[in-house]
Amino acid sequence: MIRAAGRVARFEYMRHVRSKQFLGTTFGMPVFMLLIGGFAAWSGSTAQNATAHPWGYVAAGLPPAAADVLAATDLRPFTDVKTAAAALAAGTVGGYAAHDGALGFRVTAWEPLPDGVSDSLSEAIRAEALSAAPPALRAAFDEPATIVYALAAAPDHVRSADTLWATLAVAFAVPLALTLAVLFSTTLLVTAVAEEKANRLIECLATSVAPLALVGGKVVGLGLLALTQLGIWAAGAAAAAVVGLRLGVPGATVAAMPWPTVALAGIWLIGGYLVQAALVVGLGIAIGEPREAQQVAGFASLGLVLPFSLAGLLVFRPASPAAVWLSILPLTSPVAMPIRLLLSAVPLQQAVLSAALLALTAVLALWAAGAVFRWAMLRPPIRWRRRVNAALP
Amino acid sequence: MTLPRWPRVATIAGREFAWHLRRKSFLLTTFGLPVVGLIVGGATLMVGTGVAVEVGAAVGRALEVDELRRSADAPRIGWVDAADGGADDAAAPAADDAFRAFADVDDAGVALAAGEVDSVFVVPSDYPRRHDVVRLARSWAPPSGDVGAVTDRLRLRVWPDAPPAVTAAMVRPQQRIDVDLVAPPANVAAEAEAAAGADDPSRLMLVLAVGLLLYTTIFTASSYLMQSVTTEKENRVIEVLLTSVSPLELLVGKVTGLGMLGGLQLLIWGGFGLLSLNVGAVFIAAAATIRFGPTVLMLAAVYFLFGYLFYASLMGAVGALVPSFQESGPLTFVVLLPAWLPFFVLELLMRQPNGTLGRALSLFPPTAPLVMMLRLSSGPVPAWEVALSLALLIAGAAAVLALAARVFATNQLLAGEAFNLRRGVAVLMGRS
Repeated sequence: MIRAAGRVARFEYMRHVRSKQFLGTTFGMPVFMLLIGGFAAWSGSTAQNATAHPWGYVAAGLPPAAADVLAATDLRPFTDVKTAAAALAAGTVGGYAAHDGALGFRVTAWEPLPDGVSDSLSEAIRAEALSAAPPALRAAFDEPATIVYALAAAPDHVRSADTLWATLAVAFAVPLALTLAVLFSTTLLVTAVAEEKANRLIECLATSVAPLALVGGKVVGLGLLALTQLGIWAAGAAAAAVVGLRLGVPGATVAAMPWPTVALAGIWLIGGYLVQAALVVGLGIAIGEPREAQQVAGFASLGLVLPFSLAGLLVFRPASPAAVWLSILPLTSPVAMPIRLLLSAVPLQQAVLSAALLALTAVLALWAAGAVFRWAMLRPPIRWRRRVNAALP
Repeated sequence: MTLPRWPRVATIAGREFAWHLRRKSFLLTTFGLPVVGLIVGGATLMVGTGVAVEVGAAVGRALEVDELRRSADAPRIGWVDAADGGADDAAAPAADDAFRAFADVDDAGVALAAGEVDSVFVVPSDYPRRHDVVRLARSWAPPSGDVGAVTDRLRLRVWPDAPPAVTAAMVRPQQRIDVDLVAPPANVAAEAEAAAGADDPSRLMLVLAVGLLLYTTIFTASSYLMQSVTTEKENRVIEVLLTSVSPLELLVGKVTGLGMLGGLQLLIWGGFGLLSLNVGAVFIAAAATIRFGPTVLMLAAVYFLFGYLFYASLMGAVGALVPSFQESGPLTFVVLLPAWLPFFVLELLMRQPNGTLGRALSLFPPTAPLVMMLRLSSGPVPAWEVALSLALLIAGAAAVLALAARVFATNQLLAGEAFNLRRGVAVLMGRS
């Protein structure tokens, strides 16, 4: 049976991996997202600093520390207030800032203060304040501590702030990858099954392949397809980060990431995919009509969406009863448990219980999908609307 | 291209309207969605009475909603600092109530586990010689405002005699910037008005209202349109139809009938909205839009109409090009992509409605309905720009309609082949 399932998996994988839809989505989507993301980022940044006209500052009376900061900006210097006011009245500048003599600025403008100008003035104020500190204390006054982070359960195992942000990103990227894989592959899965049932091809297949092998083969083949897609996306993202971005993520941060825990989270990814895929295949076979089966498949993935909507609880209160239950129940644990594992110290017994329940559910779901297959193979597609109408008085 | 025979168009439009009107999926969407809204609205109104309060409070407690909000707004900070002799003795710039001193890390850890504090900061005994302060928490979640509060506190440890103004300037420099807004010079008054109104909620409301109306109608009606075309292609009914009507008549009839259906759906949803929402609030919102004047509102209707025609024709063409409804997804995505473009740059458009990007997008037919509404609601727009934008939109809609009719040409509807780019281009060039 395993050999037959392997053949089915290979057929499904090869059939889809060469399809235009797969290639278009796999290679086109990252390019599209980069373009849209870049465009939106440019737009947001431009909007934040958008000024209809240049802005300026009055150099007279400016303390040296603040003058040094403002000289390095795009702000236009004016020798005195009179010149600046004349430029404002002529509409050549949107506003100007003059030092108030007491660690502050007075801004006169007809445009709302842009964020970029506000940031520059704030930096000048801080520089001036810092210059007032005794030279021996200046560095410590500017940055009085290096904060490092640890869990209360393990105070000696500290991480930097950069590592915290990177861990948070990975903690959500892992279950998000699962959700994307599930959405992508189950759509293909449900359509393939429903179409094969509609055109009766599945009956021919069933003469030579056991139902469980057929179902298992499809689930594994399309799961591998989703993994291929995610792998290509991850490799692309890593290449972009290394080559183009050098996002300021230092090697130490990458090395300090909890990679063994990320690998451990793979258990929930695989289990979650198997449960969802088996559910969707079972529904697809039972319903038979591709359009309706796709709608039902959407409902099946709701369990994966729920933990995302309670992300605050999982991140800030990972040991609360609700978070613990979310990470143990098989429909929500594939998303909730990786987040908890990566962001907190999960008791071993909870992790084992969650993994065991998920594995059991996956086995049961695959078995049930095979049973549904046997039961529903020769039945016509279920017309749910007709059934509901018939049941109504 | 010959003009359509209008009685036949009317017959097709009437048939499409009546047939889809009776569909259970239409009835379910049209009435089911508002009923769910009414139920949810009713449940919301019931909050404050009996069971609803109990259930809501229990769910809130289980999800620790209040606690999460409180810890984000006002974190409670545990403080272990042997050298300082306890946090309560230290002078602190702000939020002293937030700090609680502990004698050692173990006591602080117990309080942290019990939820009495949100984080604990352990200051080394040889601070500031040793610079590392450890923050203990229940998860690896990135810190919130507690780190800033602790940094401010430590700054006073470094230089206890720091003048308050200096400390305040280090902590919150932006609060030391006084802004005096003056009247703009006459030559830039229009620009200043547009920039000042960037955050005006009524502008945003009008743009979002037009966007919502346009997109809801597009997505509802065009989905029906594509489904109708692909179904008739699959079951070959379309071949029978084309013996008595031209492709253009068929397309215009379908677009009109399903547009009316989308309009009806919007009216029903609007009626339910009035019923279920606060009626007073709806009228206040409507009154707020009056300040835009009848011309802007009339132009909104015109842009909405031709915007719908533009996109519905495109979707009809997609329906004619693809062999089945399931395979329409990628092409639909590409075709509707320009409709989302203004939302990606909305902030920039709100701040500079008359900038280069705003002008370009208000002339570009796929984005004109939304962007021109935004510009019109932010101040006067030169009449020639409005006229040019409308002319381009109408010409664009007519061109798309003509192209769609070409795609609708009989041989395409009969072929039943899978869509590919070369074939699509050949059809549009009239070579297929």
